[in-house]
Amino acid sequence: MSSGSYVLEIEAWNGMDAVMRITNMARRAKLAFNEMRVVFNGERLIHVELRVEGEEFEARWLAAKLDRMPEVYSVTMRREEDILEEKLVA
Amino acid sequence: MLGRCGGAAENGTRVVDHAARVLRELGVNKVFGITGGSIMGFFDALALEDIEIVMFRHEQGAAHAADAYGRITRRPGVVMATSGPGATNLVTGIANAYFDSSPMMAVTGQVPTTVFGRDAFQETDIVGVTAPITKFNYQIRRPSETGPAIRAAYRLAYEGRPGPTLVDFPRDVQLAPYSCEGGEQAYLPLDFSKYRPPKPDPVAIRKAARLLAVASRPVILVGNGVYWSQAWGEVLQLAELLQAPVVTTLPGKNAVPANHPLVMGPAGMHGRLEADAALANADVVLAVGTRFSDRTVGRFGPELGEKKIIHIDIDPSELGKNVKPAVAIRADARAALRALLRALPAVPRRDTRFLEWLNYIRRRYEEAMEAWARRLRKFAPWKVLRALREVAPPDTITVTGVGSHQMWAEQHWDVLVPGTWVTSAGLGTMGFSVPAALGAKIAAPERPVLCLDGDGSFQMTMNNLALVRDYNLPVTFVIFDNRALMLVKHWQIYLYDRRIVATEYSSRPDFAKIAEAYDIEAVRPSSLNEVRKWADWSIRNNEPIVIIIDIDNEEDLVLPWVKPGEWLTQAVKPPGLEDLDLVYREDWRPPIEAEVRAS
Repeated sequence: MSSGSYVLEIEAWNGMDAVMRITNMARRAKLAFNEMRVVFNGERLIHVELRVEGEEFEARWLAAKLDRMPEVYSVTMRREEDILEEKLVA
Repeated sequence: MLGRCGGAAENGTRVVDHAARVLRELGVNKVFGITGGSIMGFFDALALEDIEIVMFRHEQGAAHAADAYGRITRRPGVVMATSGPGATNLVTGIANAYFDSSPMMAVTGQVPTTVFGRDAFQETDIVGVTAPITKFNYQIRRPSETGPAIRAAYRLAYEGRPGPTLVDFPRDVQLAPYSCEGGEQAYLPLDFSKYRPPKPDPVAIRKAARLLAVASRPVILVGNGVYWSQAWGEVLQLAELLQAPVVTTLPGKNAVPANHPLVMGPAGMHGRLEADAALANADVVLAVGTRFSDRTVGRFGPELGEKKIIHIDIDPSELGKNVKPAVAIRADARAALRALLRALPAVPRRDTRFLEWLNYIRRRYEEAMEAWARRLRKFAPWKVLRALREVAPPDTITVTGVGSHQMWAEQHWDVLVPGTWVTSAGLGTMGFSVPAALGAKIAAPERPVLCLDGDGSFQMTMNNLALVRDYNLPVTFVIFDNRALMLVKHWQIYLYDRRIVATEYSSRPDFAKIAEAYDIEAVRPSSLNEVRKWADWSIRNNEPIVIIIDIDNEEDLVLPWVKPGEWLTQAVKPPGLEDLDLVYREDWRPPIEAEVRAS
């Protein structure tokens, strides 16, 4: 089981209530949370960026659970180092 | 966008009138609940819409009734309560529905939006409170959201894996004038498509079929997902093809008939010995519609990790959550099993000795329980269950509470028709039984409903007995009365050096007098024949009854029992089975054959 740093990006609807429900789910994951950023737009759409550290299995569990929420439109999970590499290449 | 007002009454009526009309259009003709200042407007609208309101005596009871109603009708039961304590009293019922994946929609009244966050009288953030125990919850803040929110919550409660939803409805929004100018969206902008299961992946199906074809001791583990998918026919067909024993989870008892020769019953902490032995000694486990609860498998490693597991589930977040499968198939159970049946080659005739061994365990187990029953001073709970089964028609809906009676029923109550077993499995909610039995009877008034309860569980919600006469709900209530919180006392005996702390009750109250207060017949049988006689009387005459079964709390130890964190083969066995090894050996022979060989 590999551990590392991961970034979960979540698109969802319903503003602050969605943030609350996403946070409720996230706090049950056995992960260390490094950063959480939320961007709101006027249509109650939100973009959440969660930076976490821990076992890949746990991060995947969280991504799968978030993806089951009806107000969540999409969840992507990437390794932090892959994102850095992409930036370097770019 | 709906072409008209989404079923609304004419412009100018209240938002609650529109909401009631939407419920009516969804097919809702009754709701369970208790009124109050913040929901009375909606109740008023329900009455105008001729939707029946079933008045429970506590909101928790109303929620359990809606849960059971949903399980029986396969459509969401609807429960309503006022803001503050009314809403928080629903919480246990909502959590129960969540952990048993039961379709239910709760609607709570809320203080007016103008006083939100000001600690107004009976204000509680019920959306915040119930977020972790609902599939979806939502607070309506504008009249135009009402129809979309109710339709969405109702649909989400049953679509895909069922679960409870909640809509919070502020009083000022309820009573605002409703206007449908410009039409109305059908639903909130949610993603429903994710609940439609994909077709089973053919590559995964072929891989699973290969594993099953070459397995030496395949076992099928059935969860309640099989009930929701109505896949019991496919499970049994596959079991017969593979000559594989079928074991179930506690809620999965609901999904296969117990009298099929390959069905070994439930495995786990209080499972049957032959089922524990089957699961423990399998080399390939086909798990269908189950989340692999620790109550079913004892512990997750290392033994389980040595098996090849094929896991079929409609919910992708369950795949790999508790155990790592060799093959994961995200699909509807029935679709996946049908695909597996098509993909399986002609299976070579398998050595049936494993099945013979399991049947040998079953015989020894039954004999030991008979011998044990003869030594008890009072009723043996498992004998009472057998007696009740003899007189209850196969389609009788059986509802249990939580406690030792539930575990005895797990082991010894035979579910003969899928969909007739209602229990609180995931949350283990004492007090579930009485209101859930009432909800089941409301869902299926033409069928007998048998409510199995313990004295501790019964006392938590017995106030709802008032509904038996109020709504003509003739349920057969059976109280296994040991005057103790017996499962906890059981742990105290085994795990706490017999220090009995806060688990024994006094003889108060007299349950016969409680029954009398609610105008219900009560009896205390002194023999199994009397148990049969009174249960038969109740069922045949469609009359309610409370049958009080006297159980000795020094003797009421539910065995077999797998201690928390131990493996299935380490089960504490009933007396007389100390020599019985639950580890299968390839050279095992039936005892007579072995004796002949030895001689």
